[in-house]
Amino acid sequence: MSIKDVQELVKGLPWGIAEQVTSYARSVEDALPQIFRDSGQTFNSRVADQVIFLAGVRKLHGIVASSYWTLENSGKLLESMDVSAIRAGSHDLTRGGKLHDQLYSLLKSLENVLEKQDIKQYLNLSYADLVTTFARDGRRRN
Amino acid sequence: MDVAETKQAIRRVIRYHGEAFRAIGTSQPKLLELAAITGLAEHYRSHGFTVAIHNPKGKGRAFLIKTSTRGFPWNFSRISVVKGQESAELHMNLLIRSARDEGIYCVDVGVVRANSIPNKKPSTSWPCLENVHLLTFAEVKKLVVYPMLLAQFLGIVHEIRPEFLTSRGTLDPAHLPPILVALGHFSGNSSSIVRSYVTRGIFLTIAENYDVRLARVRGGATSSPFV
Repeated sequence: MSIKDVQELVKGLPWGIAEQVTSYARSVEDALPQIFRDSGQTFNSRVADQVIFLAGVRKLHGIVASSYWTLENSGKLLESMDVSAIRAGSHDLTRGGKLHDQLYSLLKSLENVLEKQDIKQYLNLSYADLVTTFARDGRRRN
Repeated sequence: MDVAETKQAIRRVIRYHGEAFRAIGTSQPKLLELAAITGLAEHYRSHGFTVAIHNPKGKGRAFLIKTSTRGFPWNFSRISVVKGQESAELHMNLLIRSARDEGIYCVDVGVVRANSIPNKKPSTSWPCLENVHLLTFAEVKKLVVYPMLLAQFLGIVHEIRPEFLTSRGTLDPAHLPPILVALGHFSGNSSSIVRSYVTRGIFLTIAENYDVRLARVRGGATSSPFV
Protein backbone atom coordinates (compact mmCIF):
# COMPACT_ATOMS: atom_id res chain seq x y z
CA MET A 1 0.00 0.00 0.00
CA SER A 2 1.32 3.44 -0.80
CA ILE A 3 0.34 6.98 -0.03
CA LYS A 4 2.99 8.26 -2.44
CA ASP A 5 0.45 9.26 -5.09
CA VAL A 6 -1.41 11.40 -2.55
CA GLN A 7 1.81 13.05 -1.39
CA GLU A 8 2.66 13.89 -5.02
CA LEU A 9 -0.88 15.12 -5.61
CA VAL A 10 -0.73 17.72 -2.82
CA LYS A 11 2.68 19.18 -3.72
CA GLY A 12 2.22 22.92 -4.14
CA LEU A 13 -0.79 23.17 -1.84
CA PRO A 14 -0.57 25.29 1.33
CA TRP A 15 0.83 23.10 4.13
CA GLY A 16 -2.38 23.01 6.18
CA ILE A 17 -4.49 21.81 3.27
CA ALA A 18 -1.87 19.29 2.11
CA GLU A 19 -1.69 17.92 5.65
CA GLN A 20 -5.47 17.54 5.89
CA VAL A 21 -5.53 15.61 2.61
CA THR A 22 -2.63 13.26 3.40
CA SER A 23 -3.77 12.74 6.97
CA TYR A 24 -7.23 11.72 5.80
CA ALA A 25 -5.79 9.39 3.15
CA ARG A 26 -3.55 7.83 5.85
CA SER A 27 -6.59 7.20 8.05
CA VAL A 28 -8.22 5.35 5.14
CA GLU A 29 -4.97 3.46 4.54
CA ASP A 30 -5.00 2.36 8.21
CA ALA A 31 -8.59 1.19 7.86
CA LEU A 32 -7.98 -0.83 4.66
CA PRO A 33 -7.96 -4.30 6.29
CA GLN A 34 -11.41 -3.61 7.73
CA ILE A 35 -12.62 -2.02 4.47
CA PHE A 36 -11.59 -5.12 2.48
CA ARG A 37 -13.27 -7.35 5.08
CA ASP A 38 -16.48 -5.28 4.84
CA SER A 39 -16.41 -5.55 1.04
CA GLY A 40 -15.91 -9.33 1.10
CA GLN A 41 -12.95 -8.97 -1.32
CA THR A 42 -9.50 -10.44 -0.80
CA PHE A 43 -6.74 -7.88 -0.37
CA ASN A 44 -5.31 -6.49 -3.60
CA SER A 45 -2.53 -3.86 -3.53
CA ARG A 46 -3.58 -2.25 -6.84
CA VAL A 47 -7.10 -1.71 -5.54
CA ALA A 48 -5.69 -0.53 -2.19
CA ASP A 49 -3.57 2.13 -3.92
CA GLN A 50 -6.58 3.30 -5.93
CA VAL A 51 -8.69 3.59 -2.78
CA ILE A 52 -6.00 5.56 -0.92
CA PHE A 53 -5.57 7.91 -3.88
CA LEU A 54 -9.29 8.39 -4.20
CA ALA A 55 -9.50 9.14 -0.45
CA GLY A 56 -7.03 11.99 -1.01
CA VAL A 57 -9.00 13.28 -3.99
CA ARG A 58 -12.23 12.99 -2.01
CA LYS A 59 -10.78 15.02 0.86
CA LEU A 60 -9.36 17.67 -1.47
CA HIS A 61 -12.72 17.96 -3.18
CA GLY A 62 -14.39 18.09 0.26
CA ILE A 63 -12.18 20.98 1.37
CA VAL A 64 -12.77 22.98 -1.81
CA ALA A 65 -16.48 22.15 -2.05
CA SER A 66 -17.19 22.82 1.62
CA SER A 67 -15.32 26.15 1.49
CA TYR A 68 -17.33 27.22 -1.53
CA TRP A 69 -20.66 25.84 -0.32
CA THR A 70 -20.11 27.33 3.15
CA LEU A 71 -19.87 30.75 1.56
CA GLU A 72 -22.66 30.05 -0.90
CA ASN A 73 -25.08 28.52 1.60
CA SER A 74 -24.31 30.97 4.38
CA GLY A 75 -24.58 33.80 1.87
CA LYS A 76 -27.92 32.55 0.55
CA LEU A 77 -29.31 32.02 4.04
CA LEU A 78 -28.19 35.45 5.10
CA GLU A 79 -29.41 37.12 1.88
CA SER A 80 -32.87 35.67 2.48
CA MET A 81 -32.79 37.58 5.76
CA ASP A 82 -32.00 40.88 4.09
CA VAL A 83 -28.24 40.73 4.61
CA SER A 84 -26.33 42.43 1.81
CA ALA A 85 -22.77 41.40 2.67
CA ILE A 86 -20.75 39.14 4.98
CA ARG A 87 -17.62 40.56 6.57
CA ALA A 88 -15.01 39.06 8.86
CA GLY A 89 -12.79 42.00 9.78
CA SER A 90 -11.34 43.21 6.48
CA HIS A 91 -12.26 39.96 4.69
CA ASP A 92 -15.24 40.07 2.35
CA LEU A 93 -17.07 36.73 2.45
CA THR A 94 -20.05 37.93 0.42
CA ARG A 95 -21.61 35.89 -2.38
CA GLY A 96 -20.26 37.41 -5.56
CA GLY A 97 -17.20 38.79 -3.72
CA LYS A 98 -13.61 37.98 -4.71
CA LEU A 99 -13.20 34.93 -2.48
CA HIS A 100 -16.57 33.53 -3.53
CA ASP A 101 -15.68 33.94 -7.22
CA GLN A 102 -12.24 32.36 -6.73
CA LEU A 103 -13.70 29.37 -4.93
CA TYR A 104 -16.44 28.92 -7.53
CA SER A 105 -13.89 28.92 -10.35
CA LEU A 106 -11.64 26.47 -8.47
CA LEU A 107 -14.51 24.11 -7.66
CA LYS A 108 -15.69 24.11 -11.27
CA SER A 109 -12.16 23.35 -12.56
CA LEU A 110 -11.71 20.53 -10.06
CA GLU A 111 -15.11 19.03 -10.80
CA ASN A 112 -14.42 19.24 -14.55
CA VAL A 113 -11.32 17.12 -14.02
CA LEU A 114 -13.23 14.63 -11.87
CA GLU A 115 -15.92 14.46 -14.54
CA LYS A 116 -13.42 13.96 -17.38
CA GLN A 117 -11.56 11.29 -15.44
CA ASP A 118 -14.87 9.58 -14.66
CA ILE A 119 -14.23 9.84 -10.91
CA LYS A 120 -17.21 11.90 -9.78
CA GLN A 121 -19.32 8.74 -9.60
CA TYR A 122 -17.00 7.39 -6.89
CA LEU A 123 -17.10 10.38 -4.55
CA ASN A 124 -20.18 9.32 -2.60
CA LEU A 125 -19.60 5.56 -2.54
CA SER A 126 -18.66 3.88 0.74
CA TYR A 127 -15.08 2.63 0.85
CA ALA A 128 -16.27 -0.98 0.89
CA ASP A 129 -18.27 -0.31 -2.30
CA LEU A 130 -15.23 1.37 -3.82
CA VAL A 131 -13.13 -1.73 -3.19
CA THR A 132 -15.80 -3.88 -4.84
CA THR A 133 -16.04 -1.51 -7.82
CA PHE A 134 -12.28 -1.22 -8.36
CA ALA A 135 -11.79 -4.98 -7.96
CA ARG A 136 -14.53 -5.64 -10.54
CA ASP A 137 -13.07 -3.06 -12.97
CA GLY A 138 -9.63 -4.69 -12.60
CA ARG A 139 -11.04 -8.15 -13.38
CA ARG A 140 -12.77 -6.76 -16.49
CA ARG A 141 -9.50 -5.33 -17.80
CA ASN A 142 -7.58 -8.59 -17.22
CA MET B 1 -9.54 5.08 -12.78
CA ASP B 2 -6.21 6.22 -14.22
CA VAL B 3 -4.34 7.44 -11.12
CA ALA B 4 -1.35 8.93 -13.00
CA GLU B 5 -3.50 10.89 -15.44
CA THR B 6 -5.88 12.11 -12.72
CA LYS B 7 -2.95 13.18 -10.56
CA GLN B 8 -1.47 15.26 -13.38
CA ALA B 9 -4.82 16.87 -14.20
CA ILE B 10 -5.49 17.81 -10.55
CA ARG B 11 -1.95 19.14 -10.15
CA ARG B 12 -2.61 21.47 -13.10
CA VAL B 13 -5.72 22.75 -11.28
CA ILE B 14 -3.66 23.27 -8.11
CA ARG B 15 -1.03 25.28 -10.04
CA TYR B 16 -3.61 27.40 -11.87
CA HIS B 17 -5.70 28.13 -8.77
CA GLY B 18 -2.83 28.67 -6.32
CA GLU B 19 -4.26 31.98 -5.07
CA ALA B 20 -7.64 30.39 -4.33
CA PHE B 21 -5.99 27.56 -2.38
CA ARG B 22 -3.97 30.12 -0.38
CA ALA B 23 -7.21 31.99 0.32
CA ILE B 24 -8.80 28.77 1.59
CA GLY B 25 -5.74 28.20 3.78
CA THR B 26 -6.09 31.59 5.46
CA SER B 27 -9.90 31.72 5.53
CA GLN B 28 -10.61 28.14 6.64
CA PRO B 29 -10.98 28.93 10.38
CA LYS B 30 -13.32 31.86 9.66
CA LEU B 31 -15.23 29.80 7.12
CA LEU B 32 -15.48 26.92 9.58
CA GLU B 33 -16.89 29.21 12.28
CA LEU B 34 -19.32 30.66 9.75
CA ALA B 35 -20.22 27.10 8.71
CA ALA B 36 -20.80 26.17 12.35
CA ILE B 37 -23.19 29.05 13.05
CA THR B 38 -25.08 28.67 9.76
CA GLY B 39 -25.13 24.88 10.23
CA LEU B 40 -26.67 25.44 13.65
CA ALA B 41 -29.20 27.85 12.11
CA GLU B 42 -30.10 25.11 9.61
CA HIS B 43 -30.34 22.62 12.45
CA TYR B 44 -32.87 24.81 14.28
CA ARG B 45 -34.77 25.50 11.06
CA SER B 46 -35.04 21.71 10.54
CA HIS B 47 -36.61 21.50 14.01
CA GLY B 48 -39.31 24.02 13.09
CA PHE B 49 -37.68 27.15 14.51
CA THR B 50 -38.00 30.52 12.80
CA VAL B 51 -34.50 31.80 12.10
CA ALA B 52 -33.69 35.51 11.82
CA ILE B 53 -30.54 37.62 11.51
CA HIS B 54 -29.95 40.71 13.60
CA ASN B 55 -27.21 43.11 12.63
CA PRO B 56 -25.83 45.81 14.91
CA LYS B 57 -27.64 49.12 14.61
CA GLY B 58 -25.98 51.67 12.37
CA LYS B 59 -23.73 49.14 10.61
CA GLY B 60 -25.89 48.63 7.52
CA ARG B 61 -27.11 45.26 6.24
CA ALA B 62 -23.74 43.48 6.37
CA PHE B 63 -23.51 40.33 8.49
CA LEU B 64 -20.55 41.06 10.73
CA ILE B 65 -18.69 37.97 11.89
CA LYS B 66 -16.90 38.12 15.24
CA THR B 67 -13.69 36.23 14.58
CA SER B 68 -11.85 36.64 17.89
CA THR B 69 -12.27 37.28 21.61
CA ARG B 70 -11.85 41.01 20.98
CA GLY B 71 -14.87 43.29 20.69
CA PHE B 72 -18.35 43.07 22.17
CA PRO B 73 -21.29 41.03 20.88
CA TRP B 74 -23.52 44.07 20.29
CA ASN B 75 -21.06 45.26 17.61
CA PHE B 76 -21.53 42.04 15.60
CA SER B 77 -24.39 40.11 14.00
CA ARG B 78 -26.39 37.49 15.85
CA ILE B 79 -28.98 34.88 14.81
CA SER B 80 -32.22 34.36 16.68
CA VAL B 81 -34.18 31.08 16.66
CA VAL B 82 -37.77 30.99 17.90
CA LYS B 83 -40.35 28.24 18.17
CA GLY B 84 -43.35 28.86 20.40
CA GLN B 85 -42.11 29.60 23.90
CA GLU B 86 -38.60 28.39 23.08
CA SER B 87 -36.23 31.09 21.89
CA ALA B 88 -32.48 31.47 21.76
CA GLU B 89 -29.71 33.46 20.12
CA LEU B 90 -26.54 32.31 18.39
CA HIS B 91 -23.40 34.40 18.92
CA MET B 92 -19.89 33.90 17.59
CA ASN B 93 -16.75 34.02 19.74
CA LEU B 94 -18.68 34.68 22.89
CA LEU B 95 -17.10 35.31 26.28
CA ILE B 96 -18.77 33.19 28.92
CA ARG B 97 -18.35 32.86 32.68
CA SER B 98 -17.21 29.49 34.00
CA ALA B 99 -19.81 27.30 35.69
CA ARG B 100 -17.20 26.64 38.40
CA ASP B 101 -15.49 29.89 39.31
CA GLU B 102 -14.84 33.44 38.12
CA GLY B 103 -12.97 32.25 35.04
CA ILE B 104 -13.98 33.63 31.64
CA TYR B 105 -13.80 31.50 28.50
CA CYS B 106 -14.52 32.13 24.84
CA VAL B 107 -16.72 29.70 22.94
CA ASP B 108 -16.69 29.73 19.11
CA VAL B 109 -20.49 29.67 18.89
CA GLY B 110 -22.68 30.23 21.92
CA VAL B 111 -26.38 29.36 21.97
CA VAL B 112 -27.83 31.58 24.67
CA ARG B 113 -31.19 32.46 26.15
CA ALA B 114 -32.92 35.19 24.13
CA ASN B 115 -32.21 38.75 25.25
CA SER B 116 -29.53 37.69 27.73
CA ILE B 117 -26.92 39.73 25.86
CA PRO B 118 -27.34 43.49 25.44
CA ASN B 119 -27.99 44.52 21.84
CA LYS B 120 -26.30 47.87 22.43
CA LYS B 121 -23.49 49.08 24.64
CA PRO B 122 -24.71 48.93 28.25
CA SER B 123 -24.12 51.75 30.73
CA THR B 124 -22.09 49.47 33.00
CA SER B 125 -19.20 47.26 31.95
CA TRP B 126 -20.06 43.88 30.44
CA PRO B 127 -17.19 41.42 30.99
CA CYS B 128 -18.97 38.33 29.69
CA LEU B 129 -22.22 36.38 29.60
CA GLU B 130 -23.14 34.84 32.95
CA ASN B 131 -23.11 31.06 32.76
CA VAL B 132 -26.78 30.57 33.63
CA HIS B 133 -27.77 32.09 30.26
CA LEU B 134 -25.75 29.67 28.12
CA LEU B 135 -27.83 26.82 26.68
CA THR B 136 -25.14 25.05 24.69
CA PHE B 137 -22.11 25.86 22.57
CA ALA B 138 -19.91 24.75 19.70
CA GLU B 139 -16.14 24.61 19.46
CA VAL B 140 -14.57 24.51 16.02
CA LYS B 141 -11.27 22.79 15.20
CA LYS B 142 -9.45 22.41 11.89
CA LEU B 143 -7.99 19.15 13.19
CA VAL B 144 -8.46 15.41 13.16
CA VAL B 145 -10.40 14.17 16.20
CA TYR B 146 -7.57 12.64 18.20
CA PRO B 147 -8.12 11.28 21.72
CA MET B 148 -6.50 14.25 23.50
CA LEU B 149 -8.70 16.66 21.54
CA LEU B 150 -11.72 14.81 22.93
CA ALA B 151 -10.20 14.99 26.43
CA GLN B 152 -9.63 18.74 25.99
CA PHE B 153 -13.20 19.23 24.83
CA LEU B 154 -14.46 17.22 27.77
CA GLY B 155 -12.44 19.55 30.01
CA ILE B 156 -14.01 22.61 28.37
CA VAL B 157 -17.49 21.17 28.90
CA HIS B 158 -16.54 20.38 32.51
CA GLU B 159 -15.80 24.07 33.10
CA ILE B 160 -18.61 25.59 31.05
CA ARG B 161 -21.63 23.24 30.93
CA PRO B 162 -20.77 20.39 33.33
CA GLU B 163 -24.34 19.10 33.59
CA PHE B 164 -23.95 17.53 30.13
CA LEU B 165 -21.34 15.19 31.59
CA THR B 166 -24.04 13.42 33.57
CA SER B 167 -27.42 14.33 32.10
CA ARG B 168 -29.20 16.08 29.28
CA GLY B 169 -31.47 17.75 31.81
CA THR B 170 -34.69 19.44 30.77
CA LEU B 171 -33.25 21.28 27.80
CA ASP B 172 -35.48 21.34 24.70
CA PRO B 173 -34.43 18.36 22.50
CA ALA B 174 -33.76 20.75 19.61
CA HIS B 175 -30.74 22.10 21.50
CA LEU B 176 -27.76 19.87 20.87
CA PRO B 177 -25.40 18.90 23.68
CA PRO B 178 -22.08 20.81 23.41
CA ILE B 179 -20.70 20.38 19.92
CA LEU B 180 -17.17 19.73 18.74
CA VAL B 181 -17.01 20.62 15.04
CA ALA B 182 -13.89 19.24 13.34
CA LEU B 183 -12.70 19.14 9.77
CA GLY B 184 -10.81 15.95 10.43
CA HIS B 185 -11.74 12.33 10.89
CA PHE B 186 -11.58 10.16 14.02
CA SER B 187 -7.99 9.11 14.59
CA GLY B 188 -6.60 6.38 16.82
CA ASN B 189 -9.29 5.05 19.13
CA SER B 190 -11.32 8.28 19.12
CA SER B 191 -14.44 6.69 17.70
CA SER B 192 -14.52 4.07 20.48
CA ILE B 193 -14.07 6.84 23.06
CA VAL B 194 -17.05 8.70 21.58
CA ARG B 195 -19.10 5.47 21.59
CA SER B 196 -18.27 5.03 25.28
CA TYR B 197 -19.83 8.43 26.09
CA VAL B 198 -23.24 6.89 25.51
CA THR B 199 -22.76 4.17 28.13
CA ARG B 200 -21.09 6.63 30.49
CA GLY B 201 -24.06 9.03 30.32
CA ILE B 202 -22.00 11.83 28.77
CA PHE B 203 -23.91 14.04 26.35
CA LEU B 204 -21.73 15.60 23.66
CA THR B 205 -22.08 16.12 19.92
CA ILE B 206 -18.98 15.27 17.91
CA ALA B 207 -19.29 16.45 14.31
CA GLU B 208 -16.18 15.01 12.66
CA ASN B 209 -15.53 15.48 8.92
CA TYR B 210 -17.77 18.54 9.05
CA ASP B 211 -16.96 19.46 5.44
CA VAL B 212 -18.23 16.09 4.27
CA ARG B 213 -21.33 16.54 6.46
CA LEU B 214 -21.99 19.96 4.92
CA ALA B 215 -21.68 18.45 1.45
CA ARG B 216 -24.29 15.86 2.50
CA VAL B 217 -26.64 18.62 3.66
CA ARG B 218 -26.08 20.42 0.38
CA GLY B 219 -26.92 17.17 -1.42
CA GLY B 220 -30.25 17.15 0.42
CA ALA B 221 -29.51 14.02 2.47
CA THR B 222 -30.43 15.77 5.72
CA SER B 223 -31.11 19.30 6.86
CA SER B 224 -28.92 19.17 9.95
CA PRO B 225 -25.18 18.60 9.61
CA PHE B 226 -25.11 17.41 13.22
CA VAL B 227 -27.32 14.35 12.81
